[in-house]
Amino acid sequence: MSKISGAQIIVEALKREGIDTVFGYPGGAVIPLFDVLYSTPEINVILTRHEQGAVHAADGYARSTGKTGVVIVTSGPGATNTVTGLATANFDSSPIVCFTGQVPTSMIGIDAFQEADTTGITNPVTKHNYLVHNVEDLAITIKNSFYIANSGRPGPVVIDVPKDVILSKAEFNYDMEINIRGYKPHLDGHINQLKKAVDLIEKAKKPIIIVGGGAIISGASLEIKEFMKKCDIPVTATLNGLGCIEYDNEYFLGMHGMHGTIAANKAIQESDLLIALGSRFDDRATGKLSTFAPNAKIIHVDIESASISKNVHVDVPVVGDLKRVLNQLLPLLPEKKHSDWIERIKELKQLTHEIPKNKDRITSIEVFEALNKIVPDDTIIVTDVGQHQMWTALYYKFRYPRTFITSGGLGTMGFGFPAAIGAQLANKNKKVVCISGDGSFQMNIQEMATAVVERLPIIILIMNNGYLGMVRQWQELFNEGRFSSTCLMNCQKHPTECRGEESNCFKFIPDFVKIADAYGAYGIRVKTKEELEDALGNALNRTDGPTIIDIITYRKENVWPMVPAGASLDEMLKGGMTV
Amino acid sequence: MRYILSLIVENKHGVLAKVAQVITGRGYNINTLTVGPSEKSDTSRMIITFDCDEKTINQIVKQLNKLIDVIKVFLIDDNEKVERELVLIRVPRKKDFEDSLCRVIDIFKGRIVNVTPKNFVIELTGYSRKINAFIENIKPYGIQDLMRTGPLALPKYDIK
Repeated sequence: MSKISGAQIIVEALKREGIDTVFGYPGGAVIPLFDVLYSTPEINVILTRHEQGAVHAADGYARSTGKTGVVIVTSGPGATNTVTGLATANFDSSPIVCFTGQVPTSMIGIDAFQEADTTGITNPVTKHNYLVHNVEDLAITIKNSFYIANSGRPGPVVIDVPKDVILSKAEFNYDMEINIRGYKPHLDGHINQLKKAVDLIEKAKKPIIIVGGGAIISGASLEIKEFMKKCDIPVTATLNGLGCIEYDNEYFLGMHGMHGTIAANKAIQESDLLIALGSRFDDRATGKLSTFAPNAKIIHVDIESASISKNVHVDVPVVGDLKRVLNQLLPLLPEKKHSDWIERIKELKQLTHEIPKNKDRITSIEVFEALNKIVPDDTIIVTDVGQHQMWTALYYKFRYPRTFITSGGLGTMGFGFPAAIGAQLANKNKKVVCISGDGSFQMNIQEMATAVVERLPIIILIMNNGYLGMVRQWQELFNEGRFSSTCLMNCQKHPTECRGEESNCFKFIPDFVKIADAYGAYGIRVKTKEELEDALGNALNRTDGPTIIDIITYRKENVWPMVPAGASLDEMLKGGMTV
Repeated sequence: MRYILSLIVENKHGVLAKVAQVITGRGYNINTLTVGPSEKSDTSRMIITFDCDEKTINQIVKQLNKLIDVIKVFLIDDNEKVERELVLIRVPRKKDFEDSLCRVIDIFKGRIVNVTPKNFVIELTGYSRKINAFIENIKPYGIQDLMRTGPLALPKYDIK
């Protein structure tokens, strides 16, 4: 067998893994690798404008398909720029393999130009990482990395490849068996645990199912629906579990947690059995732990044992892949009816919170009424982080798994737009809408160039209120309205002296319509719901590039309901007053 | 409570950093850490001790189990283990106290492993509590320098 270079080995391995798209940014250490990609028509190389954007794009690609996203960046700053993207993917269990260039082996440790301790820096934000010392180890390392990234609880894997390894030659063999002694994910649930779970479900009078991101990753949507129907159990979702159950299913209560629906939060607090399926009891989802679901026993199914009993005490832990565990569990379960409980759930679903409408400017509900009306059912919704993200979770009508992509765990502003690019590249036949805010969008605004060059018809909705709205909301509620550093339109005045909009405020900073124009994209500013509907309709018809719709929204709207940080789930504010 | 954790890990670049990262990054405190070769050339054994509660140690075990390079993690049962620690102590020689110092060393079955006109270096092995007691008894003679290895531990039986 003839020998090929490390760069060629990487590309051959990518082909064997069935990779059709990689996201990246070149630099000194990886020039030979990009050179090989240059003559590899099977792999589409997407040049982002920042390495962070590349990782988020690969993340969006992965989350919308379940396939592994691939990133290639250079050493030093190229690698350090990936950290936020890797941490985002790690938190939300998104499979990514990230190749980082490294200075030649002989120069590691001498503070060489563009040298960084990439494995050291990325340890806490990745599932695993490798520094490849010998070109002979490269192929097996890549094979192991893809396996680790997209099995068990998925996550990002970094492969740090020194330049001399990229350049030196070895025989390419990719048919070896994967055998990693320290990594054997449990897929099937333990039968004794399943029996205990069945026992609790049989006895429960007021059970509730919580679906998390794991339900989407495992592809267990159908099994969960069968489970809830067979046992007559209502369902609530975490942020990343949205889409698992369609919004109008009679069993579905919407999201729970800090900005969850009143129905979901109250139902959790009143329940006597919580069945958590692929969720990890994040503090934003549970509120105050000591008063969380005070009367409930807890069954927790998760592929990662470390997620179990980390935050709440679990009565019956089941470690395994959710889809497989449910398929084991379903035949064991009896048919049940909980008429009283379901009646109570219907009552709870009538409770509503304050929803501002017909103000001088567009409000959140009006944005989503327009969006729900205009876009196709299978549209992929990608958000940034902040108020708009919570409004999306509350008001958008999700119907299918993998149609909602958002940074839940890390809460990364700037995630949405590059992730939408990745999602659109993976789903050419679907509509992709990026819902963002004027704060978040500016955190990766440079990726406009990527979207325009790739002719991606992404619709970008900027809910523009001139504020970092979520922080502003906290300041209004908990800091006596001292809006320190949250007004994006005028930061010259002391916050206590600001009386809202004044003559010397910047009107548009920046003017997003001109930004669109400058990048050669479409841009339109809308001030009414009708204008928004028209703009959305027009944008849906475009196929050759992105559209920015700059929505001038009601400046001081807050997200309701809200459970203040550290309060328990039933201490909800639904518009200033306690429910 | 003191817990002794035994890890079998890949003998590879960066494994110690990964183990330390998981523990410190989640706010847990390592009491002692000992790393050395195991019976196989491609694995190392680590003994890490913690002073913490049961919930914390369970979480530490799970987090360490997540690491790909960690092949096996287990808690060593206090009653079913052999534990040894080594300490080296340098003390000054003072004529009036030399006899009593040597008696203390004898009682603990320690050894003087280096002698100069001005000081002794003492060596002692035993389990950690014995070493604690020994140090208490040597303190009155004036300890100049002290170094403990942290405990090594093996279960008495094969753990399946």
